[in-house]
Amino acid sequence: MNKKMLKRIAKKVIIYILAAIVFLFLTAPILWTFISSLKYEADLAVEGINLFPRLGWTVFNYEIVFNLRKATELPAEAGSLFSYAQFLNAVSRYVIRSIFNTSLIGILTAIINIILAGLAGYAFNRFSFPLKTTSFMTIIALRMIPGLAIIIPLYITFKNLALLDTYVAIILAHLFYTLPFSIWIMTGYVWSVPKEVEEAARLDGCTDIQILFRIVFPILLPGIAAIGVMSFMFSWGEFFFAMVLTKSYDVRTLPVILASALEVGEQFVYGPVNALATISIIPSIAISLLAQRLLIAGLTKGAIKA
Amino acid sequence: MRSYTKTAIAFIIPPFIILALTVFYPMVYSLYISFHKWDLKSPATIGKFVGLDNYSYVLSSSEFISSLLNTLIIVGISLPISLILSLGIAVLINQKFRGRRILQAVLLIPWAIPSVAGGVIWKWIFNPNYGVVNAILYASGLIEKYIAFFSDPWLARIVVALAFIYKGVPFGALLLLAALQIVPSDIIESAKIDGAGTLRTFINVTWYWIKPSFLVLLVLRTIEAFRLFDEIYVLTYGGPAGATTVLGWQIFLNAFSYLRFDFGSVISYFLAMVTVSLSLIYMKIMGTKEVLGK
Repeated sequence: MNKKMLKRIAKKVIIYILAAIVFLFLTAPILWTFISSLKYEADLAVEGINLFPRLGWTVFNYEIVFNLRKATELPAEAGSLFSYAQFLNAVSRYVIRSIFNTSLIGILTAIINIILAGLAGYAFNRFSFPLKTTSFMTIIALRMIPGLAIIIPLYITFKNLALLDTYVAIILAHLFYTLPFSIWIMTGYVWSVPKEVEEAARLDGCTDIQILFRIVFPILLPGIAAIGVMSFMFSWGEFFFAMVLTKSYDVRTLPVILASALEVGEQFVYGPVNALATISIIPSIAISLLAQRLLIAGLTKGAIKA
Repeated sequence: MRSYTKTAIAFIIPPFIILALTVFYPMVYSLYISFHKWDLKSPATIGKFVGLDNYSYVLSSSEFISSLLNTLIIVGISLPISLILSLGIAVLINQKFRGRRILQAVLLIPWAIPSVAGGVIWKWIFNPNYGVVNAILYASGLIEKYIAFFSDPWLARIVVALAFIYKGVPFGALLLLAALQIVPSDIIESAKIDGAGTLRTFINVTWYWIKPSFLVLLVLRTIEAFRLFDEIYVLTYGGPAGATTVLGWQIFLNAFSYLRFDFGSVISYFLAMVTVSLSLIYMKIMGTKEVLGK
């Protein structure tokens, strides 16, 4: 074996070791939460590293989170009956509703984003009109303003309009975050569609609207999908607005319920909290794996040049 | 470039109406509040004009200064680490090896998960009584008794920074990976043929190509650090003793705890100015002319 080959093998080994470390860094924290969600309280509230639970693996925490079991059904010595009962009372009964709320808000926000950003992105690239550059720059700059910086006036305004505690308030707040980003991405996607296609259609007698819906939109489908997916994922995880603008459990979203689960009783009820966290994580992971290409294209297009 | 002003305006107006309601109007309103007394605890005095009093009071208060310092500390800890990690991971995935697709797929996960869930994950891992980090440190003999991470100012800041790093690294790595993939391979080859080592090639050749993306990332991450909130809500609630009270948390406290909308608005404006000026730098780096079809 010569020196060169040895060097190549060494390089390969180093790459695999580093890859394994990175893989662990990315996944281990989440896996740990998932593993913990499958253990009884008594197996979590112990010192030392104990991967394998003494009482065996269980889905009891999930049944508690979805309100399918009573606290009294907890096996003997598997945890504090009282804290499970508290969790059921303070958190579990709102979980299903909050999943519904989060999904509804996410889907509606995504649809509005697609329509508005599609039209605006098209106009920004294809038309010239007064104050075009200024208005585009304004939108991009808005993307950077933290929600924290506008929460006070927004809260007062929504209060005056009687919008607090409504889906509309959360959706509007989410649009404030996602719309500038969507318009930015969409403008980039429109830019990548050759104008000649449209001009040919126009010669064939299509109107602007027809061109938009029959020719441009189909070509822009990846961009539309990217916007839809990213907007949904944002709404699914958004916490600040969803918390501050609501008080009623009729409209509260999953992240708000998850955060409230930490405040049950004196200390957090480790099993069910980990189960609830896992539930909020699963859709995000599923989408990020399924829509990987779209997301990567959207993220990198959105940040660097389109 | 055609000019169809009417259609264009019809296409652009709807987003502007929404943004007017959710940003322009609030920003103006917030400016108005910041020049008036707006203490919800004494309703009779709400709306009394006080000029720059709120600004001079808040900007010189120790609460504001310490929250600014806390923000800078957390930015200072997390920014270099997350940039280096992003770059390292991008370079790694850019190598040819079996399983890089899997690595690239899981790369998105920390970015994708809800930030509150991220907070819960770290809160459990760093739990003072039953956390796995304590267990590992204890088992390996590095500590003699379990550490209460969230009771120590510096450790609490570090855990918050870690949560922020974990969430932010994937995006940075993707951005830099995209940049690495457009580095022309023949230039790298010729540098190697000229006898430049891997590190030299990286500094002299590759860096030139990824520098714009790196700058973009630097600015974006700084802006994100100034928006930090969710993780703090879950992990430390601004504590211990205000050690993780960053600017955003200070706004939240003033608005919804002390009910001082006037003071909150002053800090809001400060925060908005910081992020907008950073984003102007960002736009300058990127340039937008091409996208607008000019």
